[in-house]
Order: sequence, then structure tokens, then C-alpha cells
Amino acid sequence: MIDYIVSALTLVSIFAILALGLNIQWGWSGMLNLTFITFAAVGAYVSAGFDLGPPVYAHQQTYIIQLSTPFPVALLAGTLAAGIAGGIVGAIALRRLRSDYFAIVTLSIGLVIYQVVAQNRGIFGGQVGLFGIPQPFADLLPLTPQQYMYFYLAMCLVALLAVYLLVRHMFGSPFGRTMRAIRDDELAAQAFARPVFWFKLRAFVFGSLIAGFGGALLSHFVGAFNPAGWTPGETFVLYTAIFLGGTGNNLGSILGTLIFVGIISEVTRYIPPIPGNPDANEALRGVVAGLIIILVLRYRPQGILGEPRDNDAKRDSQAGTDTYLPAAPAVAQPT
Amino acid sequence: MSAALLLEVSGLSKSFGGVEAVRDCSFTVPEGSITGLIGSNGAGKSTAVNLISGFHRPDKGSVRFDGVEMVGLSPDQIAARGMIRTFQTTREWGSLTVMENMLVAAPSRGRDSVWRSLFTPRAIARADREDRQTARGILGEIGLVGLRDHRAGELSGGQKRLLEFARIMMARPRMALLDEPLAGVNPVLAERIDHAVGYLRSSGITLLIIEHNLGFVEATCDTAIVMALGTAIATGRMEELRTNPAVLDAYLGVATVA
Repeated sequence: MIDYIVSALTLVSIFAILALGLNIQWGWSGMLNLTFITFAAVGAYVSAGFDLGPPVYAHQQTYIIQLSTPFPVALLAGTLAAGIAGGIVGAIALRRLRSDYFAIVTLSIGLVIYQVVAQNRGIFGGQVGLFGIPQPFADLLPLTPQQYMYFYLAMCLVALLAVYLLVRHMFGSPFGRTMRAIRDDELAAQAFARPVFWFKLRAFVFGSLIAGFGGALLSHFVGAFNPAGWTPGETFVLYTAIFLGGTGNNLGSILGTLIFVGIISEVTRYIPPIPGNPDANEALRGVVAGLIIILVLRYRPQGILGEPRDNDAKRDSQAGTDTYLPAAPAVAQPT
Repeated sequence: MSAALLLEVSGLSKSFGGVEAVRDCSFTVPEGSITGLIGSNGAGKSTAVNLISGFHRPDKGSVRFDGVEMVGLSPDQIAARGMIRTFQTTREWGSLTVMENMLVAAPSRGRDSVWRSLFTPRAIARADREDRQTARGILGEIGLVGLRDHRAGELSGGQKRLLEFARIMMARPRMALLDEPLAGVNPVLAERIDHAVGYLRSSGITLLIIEHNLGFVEATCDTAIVMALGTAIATGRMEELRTNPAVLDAYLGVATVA
């Protein structure tokens, strides 16, 4: 049981990293990226390619890169590869400023990449994918398999904390503020001298880098990676977590992941299988995800936590008096 | 007029489909002035503002701002050169607080760069504190400082208008194009808008104001430009325009002289 919880928590912390990345794109910046998981897959595959080495049985498995670098190099390579992929896709999809156009382009690009990678065995092993991905630092640490699981969980939690602190810092920075302004009203942001396309591209690449980072942790956790691990539905798992926790709230992304990926999805595994329908439990997760998105958007669109609000009065409570018409009613009537 | 010309519009034309919204339109705005831009609905005033601010690209003509050609630049590039515009409907950043709206409106000077936020956080934080101090002063003058931690989307229509003025003050442009600043404002707030316009003027911002309320234009603007059928047909002080036959024919003659 404890092993199971450790494993589930590792998955939660990895998905929480992914959710933080998607929250930058969607929550702060309003970019409805329907293929976010593709960028996690880029990180997962490329990082594996960097430390998997040449295939043991070349007739069974074919893939590119085939390096044997240490894990930190592979992690960096996966992260950067996803960032580069984000830069290319973003440059194409964000050219037109209309957001519906953007969403459709991301979906199309994602489906194309998915089919190419899944059907072409020469890139990353096609449907077979990559397996035998080495466990990071396992050769350096004299740990039992069970101890190693704890180690990997600790590593993912540290990674999650680092990503969270980075993302929180950026959220409150002028960059994060400008992104949220662009999300609220692009034309006004342009009118106040903000080059909207470049800002969106930066936020898109930023989110993609985090996707690649999380993807690399994912493939090295599982030890294998193939197209079943990054179906388009996985992106919606992340959206469900973000909507649930609170769109735009970084802590909410983590909370939403914990609730949805860690609790709700895990619980559906224990529902007795329906005879003759082995896929029913997996399908149930999709149904629950859809229901959560619909119910949250209908009854609590800001999610559990909602977006945090700047508190200037806390910084300077003395600056509280209007010099003009101090006696005027605080709330004027809208016309 | 002895003041230098800050904005020179000449031969501006723009068609949408077969409709000529703006047709060979030329006018100038002297530095430091408050100039009204009036005309009946469909005269091309808003299109002219969109062309000047880069939101639409003219088919023909030139827009020189401080002697530099603006046609071909993007809206953000034009704004960065010191010409900020507003829209007929207020366009606040609704989920940001009033204070955050001010901070985004401030000239960026590269402060919202990702790298600087990561590698010079102290300098960024110091600049942020200075901007907040400036913003509090401006909001106090405009009458919104008590609402600075409210989300801008929660403000009333009139308060959103006031925030628009406050943001322009924060941006410190050389020129502001105000597209119907009184639209949707109730008469009680008009006095505060007057005050806000005076505040912008006193800080040396040149203003071009599109407005239907001729009483406001007469009281506020030094001169007015009259547009009809997509072109500027007359320029002058309001009391001169009232007796100009072309203006009377095109616009004022419709017996709405306030």
C-alpha cells in the first residue's frame, strides 16, 4: 500500500509540474493550447534519447539520438527541446492574434505530430516507444528498489517546489502582470505599447520548457514511454486540474492535480471492472474529467482558489486618501 | 498658431469593402493643445483614430508624429513612441486590480522582460515600488486610490473611464487620442472627467478628443476639427465653426447646437 501511495504521489508531483506549465499558457495568458501534452512528450522522448544509449536489440527498437549522457544533461536536453518545439509551434500558431485560430492550430499540429511519432518506428520506436530508460542516479546510489522509489519521489517533490517557486516569482513580476493584462484585453495591451505576439510567444515557450522538464521526469519515472502515454486526452486531464484548482492560481494547479490525478483518478481504478468492458475504468476517468470541467465552469468558474489578487494597501496603508472630491460616494452608479 | 505641430495627418484614406470610411483626410494637431474631433455618426472619426494609432493600415496617406512617419508601424510601436489611444468602450484589464492596471500602463522600459525578472529581481522590485508610489499619487488625484485593490472589472462604467485617464497619466505619453471619453458616463461623473482632462493637460499631454457632446468640446478644447463623409472639412474654434456654412451644412445645421 505504501509503495502504491509513493508511486501515486510521484505521478501527482510530475503532473503538477505539467499543470503549472499549462497554467502559464492558459491561466495567465489565455492561450488555449490543446496539445500541451505533446511538449511534455518531446521532453520525455528527447531526454530518454539522451541517456538510453544504443538499443540492445536493434531489430526490436529503433530511435534517434542514442546518447548515454548523465541524467542532468538528458533532463536539460529534454527541457530545451520542448522549449524549441514550443517556439516553433508558437511562432506558427500565434501569428494571427485570434485565440480561436490559435486553439485549432495547436490541436492540428498536435494530431499531426502524434500520428507521425506513433506511426514512424524510426523516430522514437513508433507504437512500441522507448523502454529500458535508465533510472536517474541509480548507479550512483546504493538503494534497494523500494528506497529508490522514495528517492525518486523526493526528487520530484524538490523539482515541483523549484518549478512552483519559479512560476510564482514570474506570476508576480511585471512579465506575469503583462501576460495577465494581455489575457484580459489584447487591444488595450497593444495600445499601451506591449508587443502582444512576442509576449505570448515568450509565455508559450516558458510553459513548453516546463512541459519538457515534467515530461523528462515522467519517462524516467516509468522507465518507458510510448504514444499511449501522451494521448490528446492527457492534455484535458491537466485542464481539469487547472479548472478545478483555480485558473490562473499556481497553487491551485497543484491542488487541482492532487485532487483530480491523485484522488479522483486513482479511486476510479478501484471500481470493480465491468465484465466484457476492460476499458470501462479508463473511460470513466474521461467522463469524470468532463463532468468536473462542466460543473466547475458552471458553478464556480474561478475554481477552488481563484486567481490571487494584488494587495497594494498592505504595502502602503497610508496612501488611502483621494485628493479629488473626497466626499464623493465611493461607488458611482454605472450608466 | 505658433506651437510646433505634433501630429500631421495628410491625405489619409481607407476603404472597407467598397465603402470609403476615410477619404483624403488631412489635419494637424499642435503640441500642447487640446483638439476636438467632431462630426456626425459615420463621418470617419473612429476610423481616423484607428489609422493614426496603427490599428488599421491606411490605403493611402501619411501620419507624422513629431515629424516621424507612423504608417506601417504596429500599434504597440506607435504607443511606444508616445502616442496612446483609448477606445469607445473602456478596455480595462478586468481581472487585474486598479493598481495593477496602472503598473501595466506604465512605460515598460524593458522591465517586463523574463530575463530581468529572473536575474535582476531587486532592480525590478525597486522600480515596481517607485511605480506604485507614482500610481497612488495619480489615483489620488483622479479619485480612485481607495479602490486600488479592487479588480478593474468590478468598477462602475464611470470609474472605468476615470481609470482610463489614470492609466494614460501613468503612461506619460506625449499625446493621447481619446475616443469618446464621455460615452456611457452619467452627468454626475462628467465633472470628474473634466477634472481628469485638466489634469492630463496640466502635465503637458497633447490631447485629441473625439466627442459628440459639443458643450464639452466647446468648454474643453482649444480648437475642433470637423469631419464629414470621411474627410476634415473645417478647423477652428467652436464659435467660428458654428457660423461656418460648410460645417452647418454637414453637421451643426441639424439644429443640435448646444
